[in-house]
Amino acid sequence: MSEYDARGKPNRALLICVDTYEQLTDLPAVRDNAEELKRVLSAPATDLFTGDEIVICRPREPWEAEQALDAVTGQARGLLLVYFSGHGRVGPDGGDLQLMVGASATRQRHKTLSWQDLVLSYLDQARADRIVIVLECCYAGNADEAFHSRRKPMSLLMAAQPNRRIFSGEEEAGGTLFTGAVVRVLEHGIPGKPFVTFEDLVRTLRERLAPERTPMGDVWEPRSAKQNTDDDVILSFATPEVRPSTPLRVRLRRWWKLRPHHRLRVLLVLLAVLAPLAASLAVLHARSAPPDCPPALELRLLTAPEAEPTLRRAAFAYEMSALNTRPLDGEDDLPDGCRRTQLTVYSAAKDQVGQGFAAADRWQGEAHGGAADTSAAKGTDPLRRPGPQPDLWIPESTADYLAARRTMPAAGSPATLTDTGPVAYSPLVVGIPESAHLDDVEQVGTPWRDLLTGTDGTHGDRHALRLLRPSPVLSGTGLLHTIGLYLADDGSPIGPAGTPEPSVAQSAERRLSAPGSQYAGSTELLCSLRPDADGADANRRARSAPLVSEKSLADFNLGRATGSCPALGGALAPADRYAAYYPKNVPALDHPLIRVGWQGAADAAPRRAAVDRFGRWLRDPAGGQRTLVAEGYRGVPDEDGAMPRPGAGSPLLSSRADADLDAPVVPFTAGGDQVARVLAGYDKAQKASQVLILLDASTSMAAGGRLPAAVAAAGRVLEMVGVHHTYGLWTFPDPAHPDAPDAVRRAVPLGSADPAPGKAELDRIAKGALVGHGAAMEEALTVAVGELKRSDVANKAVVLIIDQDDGAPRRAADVERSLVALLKKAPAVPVLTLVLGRATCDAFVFKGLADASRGRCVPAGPAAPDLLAGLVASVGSAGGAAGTPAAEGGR
Amino acid sequence: MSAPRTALPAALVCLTLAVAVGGCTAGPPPAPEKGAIVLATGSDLSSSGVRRDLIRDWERRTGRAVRIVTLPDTADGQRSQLLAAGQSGNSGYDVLNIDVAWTAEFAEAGVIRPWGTALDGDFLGSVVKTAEHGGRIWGVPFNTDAGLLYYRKDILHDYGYDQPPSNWGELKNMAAQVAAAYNRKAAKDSTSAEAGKDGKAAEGTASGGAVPKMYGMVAQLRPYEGLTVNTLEAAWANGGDPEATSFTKGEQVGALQQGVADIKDRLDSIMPHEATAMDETESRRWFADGRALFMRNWPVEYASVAGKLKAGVQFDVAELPGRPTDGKRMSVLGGQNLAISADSARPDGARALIEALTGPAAERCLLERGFAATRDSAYREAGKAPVCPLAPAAADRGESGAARPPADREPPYTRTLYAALRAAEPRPRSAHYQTFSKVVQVRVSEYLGSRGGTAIADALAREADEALSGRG
Repeated sequence: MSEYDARGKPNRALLICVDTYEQLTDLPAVRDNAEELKRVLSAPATDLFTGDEIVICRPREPWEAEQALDAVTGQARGLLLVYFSGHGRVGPDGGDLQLMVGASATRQRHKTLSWQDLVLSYLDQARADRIVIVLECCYAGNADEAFHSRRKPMSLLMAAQPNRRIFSGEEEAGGTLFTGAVVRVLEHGIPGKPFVTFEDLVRTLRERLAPERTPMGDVWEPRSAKQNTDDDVILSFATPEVRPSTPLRVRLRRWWKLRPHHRLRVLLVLLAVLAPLAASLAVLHARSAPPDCPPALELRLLTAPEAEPTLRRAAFAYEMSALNTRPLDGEDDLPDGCRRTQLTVYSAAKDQVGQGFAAADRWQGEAHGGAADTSAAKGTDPLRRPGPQPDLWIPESTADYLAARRTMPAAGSPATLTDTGPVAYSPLVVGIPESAHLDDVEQVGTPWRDLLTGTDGTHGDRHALRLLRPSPVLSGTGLLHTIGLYLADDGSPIGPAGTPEPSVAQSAERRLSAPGSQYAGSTELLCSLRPDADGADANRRARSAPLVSEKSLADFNLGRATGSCPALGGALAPADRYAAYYPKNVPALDHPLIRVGWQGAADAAPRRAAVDRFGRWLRDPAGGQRTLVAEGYRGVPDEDGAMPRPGAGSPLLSSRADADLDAPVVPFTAGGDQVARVLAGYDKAQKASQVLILLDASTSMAAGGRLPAAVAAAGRVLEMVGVHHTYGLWTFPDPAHPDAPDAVRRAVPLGSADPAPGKAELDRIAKGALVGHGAAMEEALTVAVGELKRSDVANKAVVLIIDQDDGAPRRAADVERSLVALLKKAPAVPVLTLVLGRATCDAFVFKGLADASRGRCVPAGPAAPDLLAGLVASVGSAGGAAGTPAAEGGR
Repeated sequence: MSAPRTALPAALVCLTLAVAVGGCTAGPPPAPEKGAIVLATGSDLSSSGVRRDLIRDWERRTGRAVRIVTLPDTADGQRSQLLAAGQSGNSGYDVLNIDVAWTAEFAEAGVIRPWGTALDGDFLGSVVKTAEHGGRIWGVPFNTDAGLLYYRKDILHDYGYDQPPSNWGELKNMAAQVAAAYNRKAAKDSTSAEAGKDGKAAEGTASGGAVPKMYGMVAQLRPYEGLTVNTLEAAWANGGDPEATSFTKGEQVGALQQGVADIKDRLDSIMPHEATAMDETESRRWFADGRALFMRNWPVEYASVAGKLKAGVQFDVAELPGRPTDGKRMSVLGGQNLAISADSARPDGARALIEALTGPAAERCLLERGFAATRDSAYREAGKAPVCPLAPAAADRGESGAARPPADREPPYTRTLYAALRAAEPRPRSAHYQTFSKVVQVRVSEYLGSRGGTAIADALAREADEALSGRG
């Protein structure tokens, strides 16, 4: 780290000391602070300020301090030191630090110096190279929250940690305890060091004040913060060691500064001599603009769909940040000011990320252009989904990472995953409709068990709430919620060895079991509950309780963009919002940053360093944490391990977010085995299911990119297939029977548990095996639904993928009527339709299908395969007590 | 992480194997290249069929195999993977199908190698620029693209306009006036229809209800590459110079400010608010659903629109409106170039494949099957143009009504597209284009969402210059 040396430059030190107050207790010891500091700062040993560069200000009125600030900010060119010693006050929420001057009184803001509005605004206009601020007052630690600066490099030393008063000001002679310690360090230096830097001072003060206590009884701990700089600043050249000689440039600078009358003469001589030279140089310089920057190192950042917008913002801020453009020690390969790193942020569903890492050799192989067709890997195409080979992966929680690790081969994988720890938190919540307010249940600290019984409809005159959870297979939020439901059911902390009770899992799943109760992710789930969503239904909204994260629920309540729902003009109406209930001891989403190394990368070391640099910036309160907090996440713990409360700019502070900031952030403590057992328990609690994929294979599907979209969606559905979740794949029209509208081709018969034949059939169709006569949808659907209704599996659905119904012109009148009647008959067979091409879900026929079968229509688009997969994943969860259509309250 | 002690030897073994395999496929030094040529491309290669058909045709003729590696679906993902893998020096591809905006970056990052020879004069001049960087050619134009103005011919005619607007000001006035009159009439019609309806329910017929509101225009204003494209076109329409390398110098700031102000003005007056969330597909959906009079979009959406509206009767396409000073109708050039990967072990095969895929006959095939060809000869009148050797596509043989007229095999918009292509210009050719585009997206979308009309050009121009220079 480089140290800024201001010797010989026009420096200024402004010492604001208030010892006499008209309405507050006097602070006699502060009187000596100013003199003591001035003595030390101007001492030859300190070697930084001259006597006339130090200004002492003892303001009675705020304007006196303001005037002094105005003067020094205009004069200083090198180092500007601003010191305040006196009383400090904060607002009821701990923000808005006010520095008190002689005439200041509590509750008279105009008689105080506002740290945020006044002091920082002046400092931001300063012309100095570096600014160092020292605050010694009660609540000095709260200055950090509002500490901001657009461009100026600033370092801030706060006498104590946030929310602490300090007993000080009445010491005997020689200044206050804190300033006395500062003075001693600056005056005598530090053993073994050639000078005292800002960081040295902070460190030494902490050591020296460690025996002291704040009025709250804890260790007195000075704090520091920085803005726009990573460098250190030298505050004193005093040293107990042999003092190094002053460099020539400093001596020259001083000579120049001290002899103003020489300047003009020297300048004239130089001008005469150098003018022609300078002119020619200028021409040269104009021709040779600063050297071109090479393309920055490209980092691939994989995350969950929910976190993608926020991380995109953070990555962009990082690209343009000083940290990314500053030359680095030992890495001087780039011309000055060039961006070192650029990031591309993309996302994929959790199961696909897991499959990607499990097939990392194939991921790497595809990227290497290596052989593609090992039969075991058929169907996984990691380069397409999840996407590029990531250099870093930020899943929603550590559970996702642990689950992915378990699917990777023990050895021989070309990908190396390293968990570098969380970058942002969001507690898990269950959103309770405002109309269903649970009077007898606390919003924070109620165990899951009581939340489940509190919402089951047996209490008071309330109806049962339908708990909606993102799929634990597809979504990190869904998995972590399931871990909470199974392992923290009684509200006790999750130990590293707990095992889910089968009965707990069963009863939890019974409450969640309802067709369509799962979504691929929390944002899509919430999007479906928005008043402006397709097919919005107030009744359904008022009976739903989404299991999501605090951040996504706050976004929803505030009307911010949520999944594919665009931002609204403002917050939702109170009746449309959900209040966040925080189940006790359920771990929060912790978004760990996983560094991914790839075998054989020639630039592995710089790539790794670039990832680590970005990670440090993400966790820096003055860096990425600002973006993350401004987007509704909770920050990472500070140095002493305390979880920070969301600071200024957090949307959670809005009362309309309906979040509770007192809810604690519970760290993730479960182990990889527990995650696996929870997933196994979830699987076990599922009922057998059967899905029939009915695919339009008429030639019109070849147009407009419909065929790849259809094949991708059907392929995604096949990924949900397993031993208990069987399927069939039928296509229509049937080439063998061109004249029979109700003929279907049973490519894979119903009841198959192996996705391979399905994939093979899709490959065949993808290559253009289409049928040249129209697809009669209603006829084919009648056959499919009829066969499924007869199947003895209890939970089933049809997945219909089609561009348009070609059969309408020749259709007999009764076909539609009998199809609708069939759909309405028990057992339920919901039709999940994906409409591609010309028609849309708004079309009468598709709306009718969804209504009659209690299914859904999914519009075409990039999110369609995951939406469909989410719906299919919940087919197996249907059939419990709440799963009968009557209890569904709508769809 | 599991013990690196086991991972390292495994890695070494893998590496040795990979080298061995590579050695086998590359063959002994004097022998010709062996093994399939690996072509990395986005998935659109498989959707249309024509590019795949051209590759299969080449395989048949030469006896060499081509293996297609499908890259991530999004353009951003493709760029990220190709660039990062190239920087890591281990991509193993031979031919890269890259977006025209990436040429400079890939060239400077050492991901692609110089093409080595000049491109022949048959390639369109505007398109050739996208393959140039630092005085050299880095790839061969495969397919190109230019923005067009889609307009509702029928409705404009009903209200007395038989020509599309010649400049943006005219477009705004026309759109505002016609949309307002059309909506008034629709409201009146639906009230009278409502009154005329009796007990007979509209069962089974069209979904019923009111005609959707007609807006003046839709375009791509979601913060993604499409917004950058629309912003550049608006700046050019206000006197911006496509060749300028700085946005802060001379008249560029003014043109940029006027351009973004124009977009905001159109958004606030003739476009739906939803346009700020629209991409190509979404805007096409609005237009095809009869909810907008005008649309800026690429020719690739023509077929989808024609699926709902009758081509040449209900809608038609024109070049984008011109700029008032010189009447130039400038669109941003889209499309893709084929380049040889820097790591290629089969550069000769790669070169032969690229030459075949971009030859006159192949380009004519691309044009006939809905792509914008990069060669002048492809646009010659039927009979004088090269002959596409491929059999008609499956889709052309398809269900009744879906086939194109067999006699004249070029799409109906071809003449308009040809004119638009000749006037089109590439986006800023810089190794840092991606960051530039991100800056434009972030700032312009903030501006479009803001209530006031505070000028943003100075800040935007400065940040754009910083982005293009590679500095923060």
